[in-house]
Formats: sequence, C-alpha cells, structure tokens
Amino acid sequence: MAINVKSGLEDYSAKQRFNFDIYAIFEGGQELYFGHETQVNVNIVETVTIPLSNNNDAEKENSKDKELEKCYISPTKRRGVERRTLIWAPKGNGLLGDTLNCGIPHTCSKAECPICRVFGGLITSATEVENESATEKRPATTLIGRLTHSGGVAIQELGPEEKQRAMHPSLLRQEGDETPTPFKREYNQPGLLYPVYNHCLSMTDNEFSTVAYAFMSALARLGAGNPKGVKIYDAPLVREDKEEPWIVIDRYLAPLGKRPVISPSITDIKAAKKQFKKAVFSVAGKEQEPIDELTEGNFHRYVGDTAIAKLSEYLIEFEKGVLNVDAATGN
Amino acid sequence: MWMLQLVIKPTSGLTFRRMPSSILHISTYPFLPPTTMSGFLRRLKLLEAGHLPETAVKDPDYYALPPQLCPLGAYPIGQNYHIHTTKRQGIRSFKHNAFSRIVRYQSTKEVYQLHTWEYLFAENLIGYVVSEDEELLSQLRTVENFGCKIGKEGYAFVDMVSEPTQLLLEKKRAKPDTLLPGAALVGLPCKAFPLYRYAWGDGASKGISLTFPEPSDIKGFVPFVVGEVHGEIELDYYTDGNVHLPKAFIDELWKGENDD
Repeated sequence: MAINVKSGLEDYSAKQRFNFDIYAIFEGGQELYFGHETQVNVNIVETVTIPLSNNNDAEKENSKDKELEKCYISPTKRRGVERRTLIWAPKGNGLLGDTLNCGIPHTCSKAECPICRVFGGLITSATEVENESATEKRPATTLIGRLTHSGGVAIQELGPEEKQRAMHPSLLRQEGDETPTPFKREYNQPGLLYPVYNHCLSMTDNEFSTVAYAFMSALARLGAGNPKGVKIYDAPLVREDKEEPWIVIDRYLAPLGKRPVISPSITDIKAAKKQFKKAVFSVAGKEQEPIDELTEGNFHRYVGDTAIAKLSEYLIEFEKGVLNVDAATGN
Repeated sequence: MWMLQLVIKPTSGLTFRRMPSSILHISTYPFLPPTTMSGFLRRLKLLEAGHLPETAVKDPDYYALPPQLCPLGAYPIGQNYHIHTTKRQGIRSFKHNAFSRIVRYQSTKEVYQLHTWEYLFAENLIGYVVSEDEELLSQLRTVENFGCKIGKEGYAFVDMVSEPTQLLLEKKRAKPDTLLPGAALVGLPCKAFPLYRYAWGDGASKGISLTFPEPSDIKGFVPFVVGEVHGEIELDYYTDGNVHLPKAFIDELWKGENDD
C-alpha cells in the first residue's frame, strides 16, 4: 500500500518557506520575578548552575570555582508569554483566541490557525467545543510547532536579591487586627543581560509574522507579578558611534551565518559582546566588514536597527493579515 | 570502520527524557542518547532538502538514520555539564482553556499539577557516528551549522563535523569516549542507565536515501543497560589513537541489524 509521506501543511500556503532565527540580548530594566518555588514565606526565582569550561581564556581566572549560579529567563516561560499575547491580541472588539476558539491548554490544532500553525497544538483525544452556533467536533491531532525558544541564561554572575514585601489591606481606617502579612520575594536584579534565541523551521513570511508579533509584544510582559518587561539591549553594534538594539534576524534556506550564541559560561559583558559581534559578521566562513544587512545566496541577515525595521514589516503584515487592521487608518 | 566526529552545540537547556519514565518527574539523561541523535541527524538531512516530516498523536512514524550508520550518542566534554531541575505547573487535563482565560472561576478539574523537569546544560556535546560505508557516512558532513529541535525539549545545531576517520580495532587500556554496555561493566563502579536501541524491520537497510522523507522501518525498541566509567579500562576499542570507541557498545547498538 502506498503511504502518505507529506507533512500535512502543504495545502495551506503556496508561498516559499524559509528558516528564520531571532538572536537578541534582553536587558532587565527593573527587578523581575521568574518564580521557581516557594519556600516558607520566601518566593525564590529560578537560577541555573553553569559548569565552567576552561577552554575560554577570559574565564580561566574564575576556574577555581567549578560552577556559576546565574539568573535565568526560562525559554518555556517566554514561550508561554508569547502564546498568550497572541491569544489575547486585539481582534475587532474581541480577542484573537476567542475568534479562533483556541486557548491553553486546549489548542484548536488546526493547520489554518495562525497560532497553532507556528507554536503547535495537541488534542489528545477527540473533543467537542462549544461554538457560537453549534457544537464543533475536533479530532485527536498533533500539530508540530516549528518555533523553538532558547537561551535565557544571564551574562553577569549577579545573584537574585531578596526583598521584604507585604500584602496591605486596602482600608483607609484600620479596625481590629488586620495587619499586613509580610513575605519575602527574590528578584532578578535590574541591568542583567539575557541572550535569547527564537528558532523557526520552514516558515512562510506570513507565518513568521506571527513569531515577530509574539516576540515584540512579549517584551513588555515578561515576568510573573509586577513589575514586568524587558527591553532589547542598546549599544554600538554595526558602527562604533551609534547605539542600536542588539538583535539579529536570519532568513535562510542553508544556515550560512555563524550563529551569534553567547556561551553561558561567560560572565564578562565585554567578552560576551565580543563573541556575539564576531559571529554576527561571520557569514559563509568569512568575517565581513560590519554592515546592517549581510547577504550570501539565499541567506539574509539583518542587524540592529535594520533587524527592527525588518521585524516591523512583519508586525504590519500580521496586523493586516491576521488582526485585519490597516495600520494607516486604524480601521 | 569509519567514524565522523560531531560537535553539537545546544542553544538552550536540553531534555532527553529518561526511560522508563514517570509522569510528574521528567528526568533527563546527562548525554544525547544514540537513538535521539539518529533522529536528530536524519531530521537535519531532511531539513537540508527542504522536507518536514509528518507526525501523529498515535503510532507516529520514525525518521532515523539507516542501520548502516550507527550513532553512538554525544557527550559533554569531561564533566562539564549540569542538570538543572525546575518546578513547573503542568497540565492535568487538556479539555479546557482555563489557563488562557481572562475571567476564571474556581474549578476542581481545570487545575495544574506540579512537575519537576530536568534540563541538561552543557556548552558542547561531542558525538560519534560509525559505519563501514565511508561514502554514506560522508553524506552527513553537509549538516554543519544546521540546527533543529532536539530531544523532548531544546534546540541544538551542529557546530563542526570532522572528515571521515578510519579506526582500527585494538585491545588496549584507555578511557572510553562513549558509554559501555552492561556486560563490559561487570565489577566496575559506574553510573548506569537503562537505554534503548532500535529493533529494525526487514526492509530497514534497503534503498536508503537520507534526504527522502520515507519513514524508517523500525519495529520497536530493545532495552539494554549502559554505564559511564570515568577511568581507563582495558577493552577492544575502535581507535585512531585519540578517540576510543568501545567495540562492545557498537556491537550492542548494531544488534538487530543482523541477527533479529
């Protein structure tokens, strides 16, 4: 019997597919909380322990401590925030997730859903969902996500800080024993830099517009509790005299660019930036002159402000294509 | 015997789910298991040709390297790794959307359950693929810098692939670069892991194309025990003087291609 060896996605777009990667460095602009566990009255943040390799000269002096403890923005948490920004994205007077009947953990898992098509979906057994007019049957489905989140290990070796917090009752005039309940909470300290990466497999430009929208919308929402939000780190990148965001967008068939991935064992910002920058301008095995846009065959790399400009094009495509808003008129 | 050496660079923490598994404690092997490596490399070859293999909820197809190519797994250099154990709120039932609702009422069904989830953090993993077929082995050289999701969680790319190197069989005292099967470990202190190898179907080694998305003929998985020793041990090794790949481990992984 002949077997079907197709991906199941082939009917949903006639457009050329590419692989995409986003490489960026986030800067925590304020205290951030990414919970790990609660000990008695103390909320702990998630940290990771990094084994030290002695391959790197810059790190050799630290090698007497065999490991480092570093703050962390877990890729899985970033993924959760990104998916929710899509589910809660404005669509007319409603929310995108409501118009698609797609949420968490029930994902609609339809190949035509702009969220599931990229992030993936899973229906473990056939299910019925309440639709506006009737009940809709949804079969057991796996839709493989083609977006993988990575990175998140802070560069600096700066441990979390513990703060005293209390839940104050909202009374103007206090009566009786309603005293605040004090508790302690750890925070990732402001100024930490976090390299993060989003890897996208075989996507159309339209599909990548969902990734771009989720990535940019999530910036202001990362973190549990308050405050929330990170920014993309600004510093000279392409030119020495111009600060720009440290972000790189790759669009390619074959991965010709060296991947700007920062080793988690590096603690020195200067060394980390050097490693990132050197990789950014290395394409097809050659180190190139720093420039905003690098091209080699089908490989395109957009750097700094140019990467943001490119991402913005995708954001507008997402607005028009999925949220159905014309940016020019607001209608 | 020919060998390719690969440097695999993770861009995140990795989970290679340890089997047999439990539901609430997701633990990871501290190395890339041979079968996971096989699927990862095959996927990179498919990716190179622009294919995207299909999967399914029940009985998904396997896409692995053909039995002529034997991946031996990939290992952190020295003891340069750390297992990060996280606490995660996992999903108990999938039949609701309470976790993305803005207005939520109290419910006993729409709740989380606490998981612990392990991630392997390592700068690099050094992997090996061996084969008697130098030409077929060389086809893997083009995956350099290609990356893909790997294991249950995580992403990695191939940072470097060596030229095919010829190995000779030699009995000597050396530090093995891979795991050892149970039989070679009798009387040795070691960390032991249950691992699995493929049980190949009859057609597994016929008409191989690494880049054509035809599922591999795999009937199932056969469990065996492996261990990690840190010192030198006298064994039969396939070696070029630098790399020492224990014959017993290769034989164990290769069982089934010939005899069952």
